[in-house]
Amino acid sequence: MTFRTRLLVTFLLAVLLPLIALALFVRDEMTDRLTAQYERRVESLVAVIEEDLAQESEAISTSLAVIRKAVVDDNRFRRAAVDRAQEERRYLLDYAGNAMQLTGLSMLQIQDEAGRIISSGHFRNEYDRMEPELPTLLASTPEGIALVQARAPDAPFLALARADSFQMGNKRFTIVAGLRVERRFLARLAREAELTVALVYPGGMLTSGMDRSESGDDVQPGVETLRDAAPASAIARELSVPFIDSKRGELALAQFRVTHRLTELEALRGSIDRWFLVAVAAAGILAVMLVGWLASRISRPLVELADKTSRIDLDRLDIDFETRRKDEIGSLSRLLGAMTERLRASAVRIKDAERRATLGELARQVNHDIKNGLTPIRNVFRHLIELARSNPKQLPDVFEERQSTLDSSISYLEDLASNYARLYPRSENRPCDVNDVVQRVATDLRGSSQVDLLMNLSNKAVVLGDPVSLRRVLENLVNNAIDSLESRPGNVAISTELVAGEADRPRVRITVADTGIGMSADQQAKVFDDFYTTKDNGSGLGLSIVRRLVMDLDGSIHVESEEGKGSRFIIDLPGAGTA
Amino acid sequence: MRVSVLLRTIGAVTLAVLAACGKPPVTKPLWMLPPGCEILLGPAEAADSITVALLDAVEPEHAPRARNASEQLLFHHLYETLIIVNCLDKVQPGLAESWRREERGRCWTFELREDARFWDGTPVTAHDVARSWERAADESMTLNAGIDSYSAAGIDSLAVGGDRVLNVYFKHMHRKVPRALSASAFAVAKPSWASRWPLGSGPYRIVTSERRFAGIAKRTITVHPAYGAERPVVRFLETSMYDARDLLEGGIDVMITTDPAVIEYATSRPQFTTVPLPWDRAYVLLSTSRVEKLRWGGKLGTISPDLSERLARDAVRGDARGYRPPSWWDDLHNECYELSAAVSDFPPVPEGPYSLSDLRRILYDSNDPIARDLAERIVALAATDPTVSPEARAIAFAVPGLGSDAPGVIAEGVTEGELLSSLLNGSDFAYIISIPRRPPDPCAEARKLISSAQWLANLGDDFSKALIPLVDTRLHVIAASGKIGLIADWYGNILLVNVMPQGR
Repeated sequence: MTFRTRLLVTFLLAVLLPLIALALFVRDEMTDRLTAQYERRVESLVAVIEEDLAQESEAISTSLAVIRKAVVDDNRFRRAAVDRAQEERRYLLDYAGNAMQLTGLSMLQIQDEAGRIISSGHFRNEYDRMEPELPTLLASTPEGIALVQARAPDAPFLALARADSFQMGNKRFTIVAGLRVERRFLARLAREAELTVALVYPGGMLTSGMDRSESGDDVQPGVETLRDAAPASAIARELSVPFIDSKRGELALAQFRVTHRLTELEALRGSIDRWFLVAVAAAGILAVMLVGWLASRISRPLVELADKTSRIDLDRLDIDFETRRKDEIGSLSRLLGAMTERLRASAVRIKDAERRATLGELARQVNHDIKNGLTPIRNVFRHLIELARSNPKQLPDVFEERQSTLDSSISYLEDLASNYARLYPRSENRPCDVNDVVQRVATDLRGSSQVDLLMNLSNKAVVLGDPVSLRRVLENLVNNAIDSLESRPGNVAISTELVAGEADRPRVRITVADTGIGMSADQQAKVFDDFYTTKDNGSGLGLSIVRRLVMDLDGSIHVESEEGKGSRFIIDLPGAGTA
Repeated sequence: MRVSVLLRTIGAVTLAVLAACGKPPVTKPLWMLPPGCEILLGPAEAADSITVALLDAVEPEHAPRARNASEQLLFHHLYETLIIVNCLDKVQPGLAESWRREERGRCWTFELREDARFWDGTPVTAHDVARSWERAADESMTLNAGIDSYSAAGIDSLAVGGDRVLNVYFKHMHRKVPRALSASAFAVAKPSWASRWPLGSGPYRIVTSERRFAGIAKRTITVHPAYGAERPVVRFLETSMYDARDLLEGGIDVMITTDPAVIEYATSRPQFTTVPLPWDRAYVLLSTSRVEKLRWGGKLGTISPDLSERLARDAVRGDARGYRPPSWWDDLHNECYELSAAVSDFPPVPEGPYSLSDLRRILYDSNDPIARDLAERIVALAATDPTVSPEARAIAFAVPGLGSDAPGVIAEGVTEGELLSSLLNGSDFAYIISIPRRPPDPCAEARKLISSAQWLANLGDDFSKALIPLVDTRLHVIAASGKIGLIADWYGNILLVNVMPQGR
């Protein structure tokens, strides 16, 4: 697992886990409070429903009182009901209908002592029907109110009814009055859309909701449709009310069942959950992106450092660890840079040491080989010297005897020199057009440098030498000139000219001048030394190799410089001939 | 009053003598007659104008064949029939001044009045009469109105014997002049190119007919006397949904109504006179279960006069009386030919409607309050224990299946079309309908009834046993006192006349 991945995972765990835990906590808290508030609201609505029912009952009671007072004061009614005056019979039969309409009731019937209906408002023509049990049962209910099944010409209906009575003459009459209980009545009680009021009674059920038939018709009594609350509802309260089963002539119990739909609450909860998920997901995505960016931001420098570090090699110590960061990574980078610098210095020292070691080894070898070659020569000369002292007359004979030894040693030394010369690649000396080499170098360097390269070339300047070596020399000098500018504005000028030389043999003078930082006198004195460099990343071998190559070309090189103004490297090479 | 009674008696005796002589009477139209059937005496001088309320919609396209009481009232003033049956149940000349029986009663020849004119002055010819009746027959078939009056009257063909002579051939013999020809279905009219109203030959002619939607009238039809007199100008107002009592306050002079509240109100106002018209309709209960039981020879009762009277007194919120037999349907055997043939292929009585396991409906026309009251009373009695209620017992005995043990009998008001449709097929348990007590042609009426309720034909000629008469009803005319005279015929059709106290 990479550092970045570990970082990513750690950050995510550190951020998301607490976030999720917090969100769950908040969500649960919100849901609980919402549910509690909803339930409180339902409770208050149920209380309103109870109040409404009580008011409806009170309204019936009030209407009954009004009718009772009116009927007692009505002489025509008295004549019809008590005196049985035939001419007022129609008035009597129509009385309950008129009174019912005036008082806003849905059911009204007036019965005599025997229970005979003498006037009916909701079913005008059911006069003379006997129904003695109805007022009796009504009077026996706890609060004098009950649900009754009222007959009607088209269909029976349920009514919330009360009874009252009055005395007229020596006869007692009963008034039964009520309000129709149907879907509209229940819907009025329910008020709010999320509440449903259902009336469950023996033989049927009415509801205020839309789960009846499509036409919204009430269920006919007698149809067995009793069922529990719909799955998506909860019963908030059940209010019992007496129910008069007129067929059996007995009291039963009906219930106003108030249910509240959970769908809205569930929808609300679902909405909270959805938004919670959306919020968590958004936060998670944001966290992932942020963490990813952070991890990337943290790990990228490390990766770069690692990459740079991986490229460090003793042969490649020019890796730049320069950074402006001030944090740990910056510190690490600077440390790595310092380490690389030390490595570079160490590598230089090592190379120097190796070189010295190699040179030392070579020197020892040369010393050894030369000693080997010189020792016989020295011995011969010592013999000859001694003989010259002691017996000079034998010198020619002894010299002739020992000449082979001298020749052998000299041949050994010559061979040795030849062998050592083979260590150094032999340059191919041939006529070489300096201007051509200069132009090639300039062309190559122009492509890789923004510095102005000025050329002032003479007519054909031909030297005898190795073009490769000459190119190496010019490349080194021009690169150094460019480097001396240190990216400041300036130029590098290369010129060639013919100058007079020894024995009337002209020489080709190559000058590489720059307007760079220049060198001090002390620097000029060491500039051609091995391993001397003013560059941070320099090996210090460039100019020493240049000098050696120039010398191999039988030329000479010297430098003229002034600090802050620039330097001039002047190479003189023997010409191969003039054009 | 005594003078009028005397004159009426003299007129009747005269007619009787003339009839006994075998010659057809040659008399003037009813409205030209001396007072004999006036139900309201007119003023000493004719009023300038009279306003009559039409409580139902009237359509010129229906003329001259009325489809409701308002059209009947209006058309009776505009169009004539060949003969008229007066309030004494005597046939009098109308468009025809004379008639004679031929071919042993298979043919009756009518001679039109010489001075019979349409409103445009053209004489009324036999051709006009024939074409008018043929148009009526075509319209009946087009409207799918069941059996039409034309064939219900048993007319076989017509032949024009001259400009003023029309021969009417019947499928069967008629010893007396067929009274069916006095029905409004046989009123004579001629299409007019200038007006939607066909031309008539009645005592009044249409001067203007305006349709507007302002005020109380949707349509105002102004008529003038057609013969001689210039007064009164009569305006028939087709009124909007106004309370009829407001109409009386609004200047209406004549109104026909059954609304007891309106009648009571008019009675309490001295400026109006309320006159009951003849008992012209009977409400009957038709039941499929009764027909089925009778078909299999079952014995069933009917309701007693006492019960009928109590129904009329208590159940019906209108002017009604207990049914008074006899009626035309009680004895049709000798008069009507091939009653059952009215429905060539009658269906059996459907069983479903009176199945005890189903909810059973007693249907009535939702626009008929008397039918509604009767239906509701039947439902109430059906739910009453017959052991404690004689009424319930009588009803249960008359209508099989109507008892307190049976579930679900309800009364339901439906549209006229729905009622007719159900009645035709007998698809419901029972029906409350009203039928005329004085149809011009009882045989035609019987055939019409059987055609409307084909399952009645299962009883053949004894179909009348299926009818359970409940109550009789009548209309009332409310008229401004001392402003107009009114004459009524046998069927209760009224006519505005300037009837002078001296019988001018």
